[in-house]
Amino acid sequence: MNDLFAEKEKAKEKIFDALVEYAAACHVENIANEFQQEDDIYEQIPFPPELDRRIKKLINQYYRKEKAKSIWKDTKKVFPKVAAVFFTIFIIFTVGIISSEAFRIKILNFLIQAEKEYTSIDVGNRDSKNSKLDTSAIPSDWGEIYMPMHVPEGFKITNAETLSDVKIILYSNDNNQFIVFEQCDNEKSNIRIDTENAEVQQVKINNIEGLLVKKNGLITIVWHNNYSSFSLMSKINKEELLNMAESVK
Amino acid sequence: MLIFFAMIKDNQDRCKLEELYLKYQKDMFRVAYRILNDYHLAQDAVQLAFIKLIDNLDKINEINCNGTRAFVVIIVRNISINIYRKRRKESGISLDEMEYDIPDNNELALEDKVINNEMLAKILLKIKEMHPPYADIISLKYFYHYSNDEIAKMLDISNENVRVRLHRGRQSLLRLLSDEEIKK
Repeated sequence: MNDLFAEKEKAKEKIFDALVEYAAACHVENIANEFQQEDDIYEQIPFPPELDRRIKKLINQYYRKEKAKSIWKDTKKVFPKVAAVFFTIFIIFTVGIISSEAFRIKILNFLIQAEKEYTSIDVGNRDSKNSKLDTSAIPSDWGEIYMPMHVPEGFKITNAETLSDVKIILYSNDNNQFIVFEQCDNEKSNIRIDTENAEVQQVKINNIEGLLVKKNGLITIVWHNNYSSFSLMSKINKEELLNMAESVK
Repeated sequence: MLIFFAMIKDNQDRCKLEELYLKYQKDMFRVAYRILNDYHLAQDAVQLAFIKLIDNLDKINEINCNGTRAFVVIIVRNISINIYRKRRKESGISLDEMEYDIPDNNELALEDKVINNEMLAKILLKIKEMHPPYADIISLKYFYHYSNDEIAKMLDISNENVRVRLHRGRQSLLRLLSDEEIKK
């Protein structure tokens, strides 16, 4: 009996809720009908332009916010896929480099080439400025010495040593050509030249008598000043070697 | 491509918002002015109401329909009443106290009296006599099917307040309908 009563009460409650729902719909309809009638008094009140500006600003703000939210949402969707693609590429490269020698060489060569291009540009700049003055190979205990101011293009000091009081400076280039410059004090002069079966001619180096010897393509120039004796030996062009001799200071 | 589609969707929302504003701007201002009788306060009420509409834009499907019109009016009206209340607080008069001291008595007995075949016609008549804030909140709950939380947020009132008003609204409807029965 009690159950039946409770069920009936529940049902009555539902009926009343339905009535309230109906009442709500009637109220909404009343509001809609109310505004379809012209209302003269309130029609005369102008719509404020200031309010129009404020509402339009609200609309723009809303639009910007929604746009940013939407782009962020779509980016979040795409980002994991992009990350997965990059990760896959990275794994493939790593596995390729570790397992395949040919691939590894190719990659490393590419990197070195890039480095070389940078390096070669860098070295080129250094050559054009500093090669004549690059005396880092000269031992510091030599003190003041004579040096050629003009060195043929591409040559740089590659070695310097002392041999029986003769100071020897070796110049070389990338084509494996060399120039040997020797100097020693006149008192200790020990510069020797092989003139057997050689062409010998007298030359003037800065108005000082000297000798030019040519044998088997090798040119040797010897001369001296008041303090020191010098020789230059190389297979390069005779005029270049003479220029170099004349520039010794 | 993603940004393009995002922009289309945002454009649709923006068009909807602009359409809503253009359609109901005058109605909103009129409702607010009627309650507040102040040009500047009415503007504030409309702006606040519009912010509420933006927050609930996804629930508005059709701009040009009576349901949407009524919804807009309900929001503006209640926002305006809130502003009015704040200004009248000093006078010690609250709109809730003004009328509706409806005794919470024997709902079951009254229900027995009102549930009959002529009920629907009576409801249609009597709902006009109900205090508008109560009628509005009943509409939001039973016609628009908003939750109590959503109603509280929309009208800037507490959940407790929503429950109390819904209860009083129902009581008020019962009272109106039962008075009609008693007169018979």
